[in-house]
This record gives sequence, C-alpha cells and structure tokens, in this order.
Amino acid sequence: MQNRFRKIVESSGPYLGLIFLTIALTILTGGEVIAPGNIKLVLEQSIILIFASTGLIFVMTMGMLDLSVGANICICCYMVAKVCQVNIPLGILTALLTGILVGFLNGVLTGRYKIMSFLVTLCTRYIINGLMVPLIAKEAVTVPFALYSYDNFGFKITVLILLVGAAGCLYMFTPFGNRVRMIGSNELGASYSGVNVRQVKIGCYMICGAFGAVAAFFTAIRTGTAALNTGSDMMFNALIALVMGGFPARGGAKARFSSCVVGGLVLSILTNGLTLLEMDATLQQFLKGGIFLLIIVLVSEKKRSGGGRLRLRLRTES
Amino acid sequence: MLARFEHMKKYFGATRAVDDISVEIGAGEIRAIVGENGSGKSTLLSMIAGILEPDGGEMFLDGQAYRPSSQAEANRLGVSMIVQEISTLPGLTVAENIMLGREREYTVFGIRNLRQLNRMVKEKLERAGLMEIQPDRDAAAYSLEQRKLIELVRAADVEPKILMVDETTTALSQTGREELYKLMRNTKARGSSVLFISHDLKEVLSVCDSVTVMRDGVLIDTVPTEGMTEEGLKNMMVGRELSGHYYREDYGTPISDEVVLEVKDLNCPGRFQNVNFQLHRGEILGFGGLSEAGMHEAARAVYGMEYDVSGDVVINGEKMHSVKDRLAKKVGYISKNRDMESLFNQASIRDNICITCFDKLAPKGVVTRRRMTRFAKEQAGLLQVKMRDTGQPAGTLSGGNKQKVALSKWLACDTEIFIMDSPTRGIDVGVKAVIYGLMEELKNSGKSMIIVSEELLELIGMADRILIFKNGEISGEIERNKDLTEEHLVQRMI
Repeated sequence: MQNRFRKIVESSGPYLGLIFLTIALTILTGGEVIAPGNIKLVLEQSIILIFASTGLIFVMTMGMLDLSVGANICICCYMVAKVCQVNIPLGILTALLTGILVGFLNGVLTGRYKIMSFLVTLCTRYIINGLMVPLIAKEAVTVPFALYSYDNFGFKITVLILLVGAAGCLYMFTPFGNRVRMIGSNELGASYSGVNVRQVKIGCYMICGAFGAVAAFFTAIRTGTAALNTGSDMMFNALIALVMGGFPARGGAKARFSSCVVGGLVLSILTNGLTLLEMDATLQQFLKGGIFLLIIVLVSEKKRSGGGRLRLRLRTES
Repeated sequence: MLARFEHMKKYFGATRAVDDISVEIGAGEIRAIVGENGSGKSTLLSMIAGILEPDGGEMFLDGQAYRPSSQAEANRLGVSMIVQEISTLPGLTVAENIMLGREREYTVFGIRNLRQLNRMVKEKLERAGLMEIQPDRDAAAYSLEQRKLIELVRAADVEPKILMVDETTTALSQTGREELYKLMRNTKARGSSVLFISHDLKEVLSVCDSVTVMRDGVLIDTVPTEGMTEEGLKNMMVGRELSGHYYREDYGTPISDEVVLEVKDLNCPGRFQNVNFQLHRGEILGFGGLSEAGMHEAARAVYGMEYDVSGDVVINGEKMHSVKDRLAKKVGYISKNRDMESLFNQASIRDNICITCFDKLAPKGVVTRRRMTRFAKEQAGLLQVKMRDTGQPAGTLSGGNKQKVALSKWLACDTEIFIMDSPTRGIDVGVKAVIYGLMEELKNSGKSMIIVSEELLELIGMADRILIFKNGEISGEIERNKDLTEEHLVQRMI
C-alpha cells in the first residue's frame, strides 16, 4: 500500500501537484491566479527559477549539491551590470565565463580533490559573497538602460526553450547524460566501468555555473540592479523546485529531467498564489520549508533494517 | 524438535521468492540449505532472522510461536545470522563490534568501562584462536576475512539456539573455514541447530547432517547427507540430469606466441611485489592464492585501478598510463565485489549494459532509449539473463543473473582482454556452467583472460597457466595438465 502510494507520488505526483495547486489557489483567490495577465506573470517569474534548477539538476543527479547557485547569480549579475555599461555582448560573455569559472572551481574541488560537494559549495558561496562586499555593499550597481530592451516576454521564452531544450537533450539523449545518472547510481561502479568520473563532475558543475549566469542575466534585466542580496533566495528555491518536480533527493538513475521545468512552474505558482493571498514573505518561507520536508519524507525509501545489527542492502531474490 | 516453519511465503511483486515452504529443524542438527541462485534460500533465512517480514506462514521456536519484528528481537530470542555481506561496523573497535547491543554487560553506573570491555573481548578472541586481532583497534583495519571471523566470534558469543550462516565460506580461506566449522560443531554440541547456506556442495556433504533442497522458491526435499553424492544434489537442485561437462576438457592445445599484455616489475608497497608475466592471445591465465596473497590487488593494478603502483603494463606494445588507455585497448575488468564495483543496482539492466558501449551506440553523440533497449535486450539474451524486461533494476536480480549482466557489459563492447576477479563467487552450478562455457568460447575466438580465483578447482579446470601468489609475490607457475590436483597448488600457496 505504502509502496504503491510512493510509486504514484514519484511518477505523476508533480503533475498532480501542479493541477491541484492551480485549482486550489484559483478557488482561494477567486480566480485571480488564472487571469491571463497573472499567468504571464507566473511564467515570467518561473523563467529564472527554471534556468537555475536546470543547471542544478546535472549536479544533483550525481548525488551532489551546489549551494553556491545564489552567490554565483550574484557575481554574474554584477558582471552583467558592470561590463554591459561598456559593451553589451562583452558583458553577457563575461558573465557567462564567470559562471563557468565558478562551476569549474566547484568541479575541480569536488572531482579532483574529492571534497564533499556540500562543503565545497558552501565555502565558494561565502568566498563569492566576501568578494562582492567591497564591490557592491555600499551601493548597488544599476543595469544600463539599453539592457531593458531584452526584458520582453517573447525573447525570454525563446531563450528558455532553446537553452533548456538543449540541456534536456544533453541530459536524456547523450552518453554524457547517461554517465551523469550512472555516477549518481554508483560512483565506484562507474569508475570501474571506465567512466571518467572527474571529468563528468567538472562538466556538470560548469553547466550548473553557466545556467547560473543565464539566470543572472535575466535577474539583472528584471530587477535592474546588482545588489548583495541578489539571488540569495535562489539556492534554496532551485532545490525546492527540483524536489517539487519529483526529483529523488539523492539523485541517481531514477532522476527525470522534467523535474526542473515542472518544479519551477509549481513553485512559481505557489509563490504567486501565496502573494496574491497576501501572505507574509517570512511565513511563505516557513511554508516552503515545511512542504520541502514533507515531500522528502513521503518519497524517501523506507528501509527496514533490524535493530542493532545493520544490514545495508536487502536483496529481493535468492 | 527445535523449530518449525510452516507455509512460509514471501513475494516480491510477481516473483514468488519463497512459495509455501514448511521445514522442521531438530535440536543439535546442522542443516544445509542448497539451491540455485534465486531459489529463495536467503529470503527464507532472512525471514527467520527477522530481517524480512513474511507474507504468510507461521514459525515456532521451542514449541512457542515465534514472530520477530526485527533482527534485534530475533537475536534476543536466540536466532542469529551471519550474512553474506560484511556486517562489522567500521569506525567501531573490534571489541565494540563484538559486544554490539550488549553494552550493558560492561557499563558501570552509566559509564562504559572500556578497559573491562577490551579485557573481556581479548579473552573471547584468544579462546577462538585469533591472537592477532586487537580488541581496541578499528574493525575496518582488518581484512575482509578477519572481519568475517570477528563476526563469527560475535555470533558464537551469544550462544544462539539457531545459528544461520549465509554463504560465508566464499569470503574465507581454509583456516577461516576451519574456524567456522568449529563454531558450527560447538553450536551443535550445545544442542542448538545450524542452518547453513553454501554453494560448495563438497563442504555441505562433509559438514552437515542433512540437506534441504530448494528450487524456484519451492521445497524439493530434505535428505540426510549420509549416502548422498554431489552429483545427486546437483541434479535435485537443477531438476534435470546435468551432463558431466563442466570445465574445459582439452589438454595440450598450443597457445599463440603473440603477447597481448605484458606486465613488468609491477610493485605496490604492502600489497604485492615484483609481478612479471605475459599474457598471450587466446590464453586463460589463472591467478591463484590465499585471499590476502596480493592477487586481487595485482589484477586491479593491471586494470589501472590500484594506487601507488610502480612498474609497467604494456598492451600490444604500448605502455598504459590510465584506465582510459586500457579501455581503448579493449580491456575489461569484472570485480569481485559485484554490488559495489560492477553493477548499478538501482539503475536498469539497460543502463548497466550500455554504460561501456556509447562509442558504438552513439557514434554521432546522440542515443535514444529505444536503441539502448534493443541493444541491451540483444546482449542480455546472449547470456540468457532471467529478467522481466531491460527496464528492471539490476539490484532485483539474483546473484548469478547479476554476474551475467556484469559480464555482458564487457562482452557488449567487444572486449579483447578480460580481467575477471572471482567470476563465479557465490554463484550456483547452472550459471557457473554458463560462465565456463562462455570462457571457452571467448578463448576459442582469440580473446585473452586473466582469472583470479580462490577456487582452485576452477583454476585447474579452466586455466592454460596458473600463477600462484604467496605473500604478494608470484611463487610459482603451473602449466595446464591432466594430473594437476589441488595439492600441487596448495603446496606453493602456503
């Protein structure tokens, strides 16, 4: 019974959640949520989130974490704002390279030096924040006026479809994507099967960094400034989005790419609906944290291990 | 009669792992349970040990209804199990491991008296003849075999009414086995019973009083070992007459002069020294020795996965620097540690087989699931893997079928040189025969193999040449011949 319930939650849960949430919020807000203007707003809000979680999905599939997503967005946002004042394409390129560099550092530290990803990215997060303090603590940098021309819905959606589509193909239809999932399933086994684990790890963090930079670009043109708190909520939001999208918390072979898109939408609708209901922002965080834990508990594998003696793996046959 | 198990059932989805089995065990009886992989032996024992919950049936111990809710409760009621896997906890000392769950015995006023603990355990270890094991050292510091012996000491110490031993001997050398047999005999002498799972039928016949044979989750028969033969047991397990053909039967077949792999002065401090050999085209080279003799590590070093190795591995005239180089030369490695190093248990059979073959599957860098499924199905079909479909998680297969998947992973990518570490470890006769047949086929098609094995008969039966390892060095080289016996090999091993 519990088993079947878990299977349903795992396979179609995110979609059911999306539908249920939309209906519930529609009723609660008296239809405000599905007003055409609001739908567009929700989509627009979800774009940055989907970019961030698309990058994160590669890292998390390997069973690793990236806590530096928010800080990465912050520094890339600064690059966009600062360098675009000189030249717009150069600014975008600089931001992209910065994001990739941050990812590369994370990748080398976890892949080459085999330090726990949680520690590495927690440290890079604080290092980047520390770097940003002297630059923008006193005064936020304003994005040059010319960039606002990119702030149109059609452009954003096109970029989203192209980039996330490309990432999806990479994830689902290439040997690289397969190797990522196999590392998540059994890292040691992957290295014995001839997978270059170090290379794949660095690659995943670089993808994550690059998508952080893209998210940063759209954050910049949306908010118009690069400040210290830019992107600070993204670390946790991208994580919740994935989990809400049905992503197994430990990654591995069962991970589905759709999680980042579905999860991004679910979380955005939830945030939007709660804001329409005039719920306090702090209270919203409380609620999101609670939902996050609830999902993790519901989908976590319940293993029956006998008391004091530990048997790590129960075989199902023989 | 000590214990009675009636109409035991356990289903995993559509698989009937144990299907209505009733067994009785007498006091002071050593009972073997044999059957092919996937016949449900471990599942039955796991239910008795409180690890798995039965889907049906009743158990009685000493005439009382017995329903353990956990392994700890089963232990308390006098049922303990030594599992196939290592179950000592790393990070705890040997003494803490042995006294796990019985902390009260050395706790004074809520404070653990470590000196008393170590003294107690030292005595127990000495009584078991394990002088070299220090009670206050981390259990992880000891070898696989020593950790297994530590488990034995723990199991003996609680003086269980039923002691269950699940395929433990594969991890043990001869001395370790003697320890285990002693423990089993002591248990019997106390009037308690032993349930013993083993694939080594010779061992079963010499150690046990009676044998219960299982097949596909069903009880076939329980017979006394007296007057029973290995052949007879095999036939009962498989359910058909097995032909005598098992190992290779050819002798004196010439081996090609072509050297495909050469190892020069391979050294690894503390594990092996001065390993030199040549592997020819179409040759089966055996590595034999005690489990700690360095042969497993040497094989891993040939594949490039061991640390701190000096010396050269040359394949087809080229010096190897990394695992990647070896893959380019079509070398494949099958680990002794199937679940940790060969397989992706939560991933599908499809993903498991395709992982080595993306060059073939995705020449343009793109691969669809449909193509992977077709490919995996074809490859798994070659070795007759028993499965629902290729999407089934590899972890749900039985040991023998897991090994088939691990093998097809390397067969699928046209491997030329196989390095197989204990390829038939913990595998039943049916699958063993398949694997031996495969080796012969591979040899005939010009592939080369290094086979590391602790089963001497397997080396004698299959290898063209056997290198014997002793204390990390090659102590002898033996050519294939008809009159070779285990004694010849053992002499050089010890």
